[in-house]
Amino acid sequence: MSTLTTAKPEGPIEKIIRTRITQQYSPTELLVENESYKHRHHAPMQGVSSTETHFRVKIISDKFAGMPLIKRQRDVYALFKHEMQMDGGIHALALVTKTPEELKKK
Amino acid sequence: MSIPGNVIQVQNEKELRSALEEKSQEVVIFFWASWAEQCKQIESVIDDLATKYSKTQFFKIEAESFEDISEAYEINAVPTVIVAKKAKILARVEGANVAEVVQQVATNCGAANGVGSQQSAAESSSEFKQDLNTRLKGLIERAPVMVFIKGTAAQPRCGFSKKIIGMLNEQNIKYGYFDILTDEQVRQGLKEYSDWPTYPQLYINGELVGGVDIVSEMTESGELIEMIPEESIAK
Repeated sequence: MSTLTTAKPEGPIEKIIRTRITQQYSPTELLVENESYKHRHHAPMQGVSSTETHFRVKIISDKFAGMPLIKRQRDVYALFKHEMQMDGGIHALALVTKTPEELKKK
Repeated sequence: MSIPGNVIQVQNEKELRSALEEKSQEVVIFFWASWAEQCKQIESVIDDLATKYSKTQFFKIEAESFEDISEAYEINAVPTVIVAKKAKILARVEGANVAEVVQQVATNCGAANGVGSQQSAAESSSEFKQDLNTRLKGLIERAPVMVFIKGTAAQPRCGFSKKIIGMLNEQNIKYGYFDILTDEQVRQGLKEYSDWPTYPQLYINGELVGGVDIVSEMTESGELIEMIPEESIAK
C-alpha cells in the first residue's frame, strides 16, 4: 500500500479522512489533498477559520468492484456524515473511486 | 378550492386596523409580493392552516401596496408571517420557513381553536415533511435532465457547478436547472431526500446520477451520453 503525503502538515480532519478510508477500503492507493487554501476567499468561506474545508480524495480499492459509481461515493460520504454536517467541517469532498483494474484501463 | 371565510386578502388599511382593534384574539398576517416566488409556498401553507384554525383570522397583505402597514410591522423581507394580538407581535417568521410558520400558528392560535398546540405541531410537522417531499419530487422531475447547482446556468457560483454545466453544454445536453442558493429549504431538504450531501446534483428521469465527480467519470467513459433521453440531446 502506497500513500502520497501532502506538503502541508496533516490536520485532524485530514487524519480522520485517511484513517477511516484506510480502515474501510484497505486501498492499494490513497491520495488525500487539502485544497482548502484555494477556496479561502470564496464568499461562502468568509468567517470560516478552519483550514480543512475542501479535500480531493482518490481511492483505489478492490472493494469498489461491481459497485455503481453512485453507491461508491454515497458510501464514502457516509463515512464522513458528521464532519460534513458540522459547522466549519468538510465543505467539499471531491472523489475518485476506482478499482485497480479500472485504473489500469485508463 | 374555495377560500375559507377566515382568510382575508386585505384591500384597504382600515380593514386591517379595525379588525385588529376589534378582536382581542390572535390574528395571523401574511406579507407577500408577487415577485417573490417563495410567497406562493407560504400562501398555500396559510390557506391550509386557515382551514385547521377556523376561529382565527388570516390576513394576506401585498407588502408593497401597503407601505404604512409594512413599515409599522417592520417588514424587511417577503414572505413574512406575523402572529399578532391587538398591538402586540407574538411571533415573526421571515422567509419560506414552513416549519416555523406552522409551529408559531400552532403555539399561539391553538388555544383559541381548541387545538392542543403540542399535538397539532407534531401532526403539521409530518404533513409539512410530506409537502416538502412532494415539492422536491416535482422539482427533480421538472425536466428529463435536471441539475441542482449554486448559481444559474449562465452564472454558476461555484467551481464544481461551473464544471458540471460545462460538461452538459459540451455534450449538447438540454437540461433544466435550479439555483439552490435561492431556496434554503430545497437546499437542505434535497440533501436529505436524496441522501447526497453536496451540490451540484444531476438527475436523469427523476433519478440521482451523482455530483460533478461522477458526471466527469461518466463523461470520460462515454457512459453519460448513453443515459440521456433522445429528446434531451440538442441537434
